[in-house]
Amino acid sequence: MIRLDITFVFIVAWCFLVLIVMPVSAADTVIEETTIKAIYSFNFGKFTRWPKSKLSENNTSLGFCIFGKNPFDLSAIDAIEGKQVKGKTLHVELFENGLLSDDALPDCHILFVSQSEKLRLQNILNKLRYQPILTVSDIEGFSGNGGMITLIKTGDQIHFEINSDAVYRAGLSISSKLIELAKTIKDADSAGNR
Amino acid sequence: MNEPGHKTSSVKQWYQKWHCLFIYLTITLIWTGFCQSQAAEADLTDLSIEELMNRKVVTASRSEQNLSDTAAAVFVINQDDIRRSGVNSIPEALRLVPGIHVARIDSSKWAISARGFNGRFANNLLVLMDGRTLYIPSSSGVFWEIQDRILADIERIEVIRGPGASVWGANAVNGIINIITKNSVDTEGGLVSLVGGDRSGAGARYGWQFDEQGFARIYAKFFRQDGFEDQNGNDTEGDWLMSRGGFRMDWTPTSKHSIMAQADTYDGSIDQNLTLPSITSPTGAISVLDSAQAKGGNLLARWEYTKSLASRLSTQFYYEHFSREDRTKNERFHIFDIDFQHDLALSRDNEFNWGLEYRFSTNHFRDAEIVSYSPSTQHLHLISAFLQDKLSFFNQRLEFTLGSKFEYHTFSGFQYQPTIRALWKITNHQRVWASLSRATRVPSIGERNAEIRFAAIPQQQTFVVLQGNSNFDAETVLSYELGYRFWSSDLFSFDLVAFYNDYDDLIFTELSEPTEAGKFPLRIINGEKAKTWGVELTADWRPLDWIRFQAGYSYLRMKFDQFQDSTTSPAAFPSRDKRDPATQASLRSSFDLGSSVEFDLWLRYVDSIPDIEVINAAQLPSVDSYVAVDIRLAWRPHKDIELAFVGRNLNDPQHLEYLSELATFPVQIERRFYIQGKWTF
Repeated sequence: MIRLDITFVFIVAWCFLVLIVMPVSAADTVIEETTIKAIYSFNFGKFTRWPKSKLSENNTSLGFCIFGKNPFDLSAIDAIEGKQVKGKTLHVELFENGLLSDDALPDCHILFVSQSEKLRLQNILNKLRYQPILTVSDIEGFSGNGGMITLIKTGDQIHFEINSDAVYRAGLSISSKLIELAKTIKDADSAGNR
Repeated sequence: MNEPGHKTSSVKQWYQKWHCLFIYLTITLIWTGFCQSQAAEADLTDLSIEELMNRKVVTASRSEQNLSDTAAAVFVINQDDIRRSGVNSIPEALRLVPGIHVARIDSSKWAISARGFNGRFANNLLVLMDGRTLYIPSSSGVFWEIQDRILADIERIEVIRGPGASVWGANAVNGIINIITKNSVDTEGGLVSLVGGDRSGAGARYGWQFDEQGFARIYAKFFRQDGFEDQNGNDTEGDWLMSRGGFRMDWTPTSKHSIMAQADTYDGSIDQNLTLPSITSPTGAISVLDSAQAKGGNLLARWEYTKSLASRLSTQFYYEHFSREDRTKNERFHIFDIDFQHDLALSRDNEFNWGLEYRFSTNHFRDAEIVSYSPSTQHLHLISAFLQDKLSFFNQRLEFTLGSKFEYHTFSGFQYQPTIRALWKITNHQRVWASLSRATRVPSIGERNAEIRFAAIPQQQTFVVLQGNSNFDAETVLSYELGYRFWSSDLFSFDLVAFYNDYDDLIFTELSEPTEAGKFPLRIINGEKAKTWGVELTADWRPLDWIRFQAGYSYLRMKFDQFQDSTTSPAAFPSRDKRDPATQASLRSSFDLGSSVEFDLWLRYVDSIPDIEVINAAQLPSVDSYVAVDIRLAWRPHKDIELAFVGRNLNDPQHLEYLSELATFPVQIERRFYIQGKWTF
C-alpha cells in the first residue's frame, strides 16, 4: 500500500499548488530580457529618420525584420506588433532560417540580427552596409563591426551603444536625444572587418 | 511478496483512476491557463527610453514549441528541459516528448518509437545527431546505448512525430529525432560533471577560442551503470561500462564560409542477460549472462557557404565505424556519406530547398548463436535527391510546402516519398496545419540476408529460424495529419495533433519448405497491412515566472490485417501489433524556489501492453501499466556549481517496462536515487 500513498501525496500536493498559484498569477511585473530588447528596438524606430526612398507616404507599414532564430518571446512580439511608429503600423516579420530574399529587403526598416547569426555577422553587415535599414542586435561587438545599435546587458539592466558612422553611411539619421543616452562609438578598425 | 492476485487488480484499478486523474489535471491546466492568459498586460511600448534603461530585467528560459510555425507535430527539448528532468542519458531524455514511447528493456537497452511499431530494433524512426544518421544498416534500428554526449553540451533535441521522409529520407516513417549539440562558440571554458548512484561517472569538457571567429571544444566521459533485478528479485549483473571522447570545432575563416568539424570515439562493455534457444534444454531455452563489446567512432565535417543573404549552400561529409559483438550477433560496418544542400529564398513568399546525398556502407558479419548472415559481407549504396518548395499566400497567413525525396537503394530500388503540407495562421496566436505524406522504410540487411534462430523445439531437435528474403521490399505508409496550436502569450500554449496512418507491405512471416534437417524455416515477406490512428496533446503553462507545468497525453490505436495466415507455424515470430501502449500521459511541474534552488516533479503514466508478443510467451510476465514519479531537487551554492539530488521511479520499488522481441530476458526497472554535480569554470 505504501507505493499508492506516496503517489497520492504527490497528487494532493500538486492540486494544492495549482490552487495556491492560480489567484496570484495575474500579478506579473518583472520584464523579461528579450521583451525589453524588443521594446527598445521598437523605440529606436521612433528616433530614426529614414530617407524618403525607404519610408514615404506610400508605406502603410514599418517592417521589423528578425533575422535568424527568433530570440523574442511571444509577449515581446505581441507588445510591438501592430503598434504605431512614425504614423505607420509596425509589422514583425521573421526570417528564422537566416535567408532574406532581395524583394523582402525594401520592406525591412528595422532589422534585428539574432545571436544565431553571430558567426556570419560580418557577411550580413557587409551586405547591409549601404542599405537604409536600422540594424540592431545583442551580439557582442555588433556596432564595433559596422552594425548600428548594440543592446548590452549591464548588471541587470539593458543599455545600448550606437555606431553613428554606420548610421550615417546607410543614409539614416538618429535623433540626438537618443545619441545622448547611448554610449557612442566609431567604426572600429577591427581585424576581420573586410 | 510481489503479487498476490487481488492486489495486482486493485493496483490496476488505481491506475485506471490515475489515468482519469491525469486527463482531469491536463484539462484543468489547459482551462486555468487559458483563463489566466486572458488577463491583459500593461502596454510596455509606452515606456520611454530612459524608463527602459532603468528597468531591471530577468532572463527566463522559454519553451521553443510556442513559436513553431512548422506544419508538423514538432516538439523541442531544450538544454534546460534536459537539465531539469534530471536524466543521465539521451534515451531517458526522450521521455520528455509526448507521444514518444520510451521503454527501458534493461540497464543498457531501450525501445523507442513514436506512433507504434516499437521494439529493441524499432526501425521506423530516423535518428540524427548533428546531421549524422544514427542507423545500424543490419537492423535499421538505433543502438541507444552507444548514443551519448556530455548532456550539458546538447543544445536541443527536436522531435517530429509523423513522416519526414520528403526531406530526410528513408526510415523517417513514424518520426525524426534530431539531436543537436551546442556550437562550440557557446561552450567556452571548462565543465566537469559527476554522477553518483546506480550510475556513477564523470565527464569533462573544455572549450576555447583559437581564432577571432573560431572556437573548439574537447570532451571525455566515462560511466558505470549497475544492472537491475530480474523477476525474482535477483541482481541480473547487467553492468555497463562506457567511455568516450571527442571534439567539435566551429570556424568562420572568412565572412562567407564557415566550417564545422567534429569527431567522437567510444568503447563500451555491456553485460546483458539473454534467453537463447536451445535444443538441449527441455524448455527449449537457456538463460545466459553475456557481455557485449561495442565500439566505434565517427568524423563529420560541414562546410557552409553563404552566397548572399538569400542563398546558402552546405556540403557535409561523414564517416562512421561501428562494431558490436555478443552471443546474439556480430557485426561491423563503415559508412561514408556525402550530402549537399542548397537553401534559397527565391522571393519573400517562395523558399526553395534542394539537396543530393550519396551513402556507401560496407557491412561485415560473423555468425553468432542467434543471427547469421549470408553473404557475410554486404555493400550498400544509397543515392537520393530532394526538392522542397514553401509558398506563402495572403500576406504569409497561408503556407504550402510541397516536396519529395527520390531515392535509389541497393535493396529497394527507386522510391519516391512526396509530401504536401499546409499551415494556416488563423490569428497571431493560433495555427492549423494539415499534411499528407508518403514514406517508405527500406529493408535492413537482416531482413534480406539474415537467418535468425529464434526458438527451439527440443523434442524434435529442431530450431525455428527466420530467414531473410532477397525479394523483401520496402514498407510504405500513407500518412494523414491534422494539427492545431494555440498559445496566449508565453504563459500558456497547447498543441493538438491527430493522425491516421495507412501502412502497406509490412514485414510478416510465412511458412517455408524445410531445406535441411534440424531447421524449421519461416520466411520474411511483405505480408501485412495496418492502419493506425491516434491523438497527441501537449500543454505548457507558466502561471508565474518561477512555476511551470507541462502536460502531455497520447493515444494510439493499431489495426493489422494479414494477407496470409500463419497458424500452422510451431512458433510465430513476434508480431509488431502488440508492442505499444495505447495511452501515455505525463505531467511535469518545475518550481524555482528562490534564486538557487530548483524543485521538479514529474509524473508519467504508461498503459499496459497486453499480450506483448515475444518468443516463449508462456513463461513471460505481462507488461502492466505503471505510474512513475521522478523528483529532482537542485541547489546552486555558487553560480558555477550545481548539485542535484534525483529520485526516479519513486512510486514503486520496481516495474517491468518492456520485453525485447529477441533473446528476451525480463528485467525490472527499479526505484533509484542519485546525485549529480556540475562545475563550470
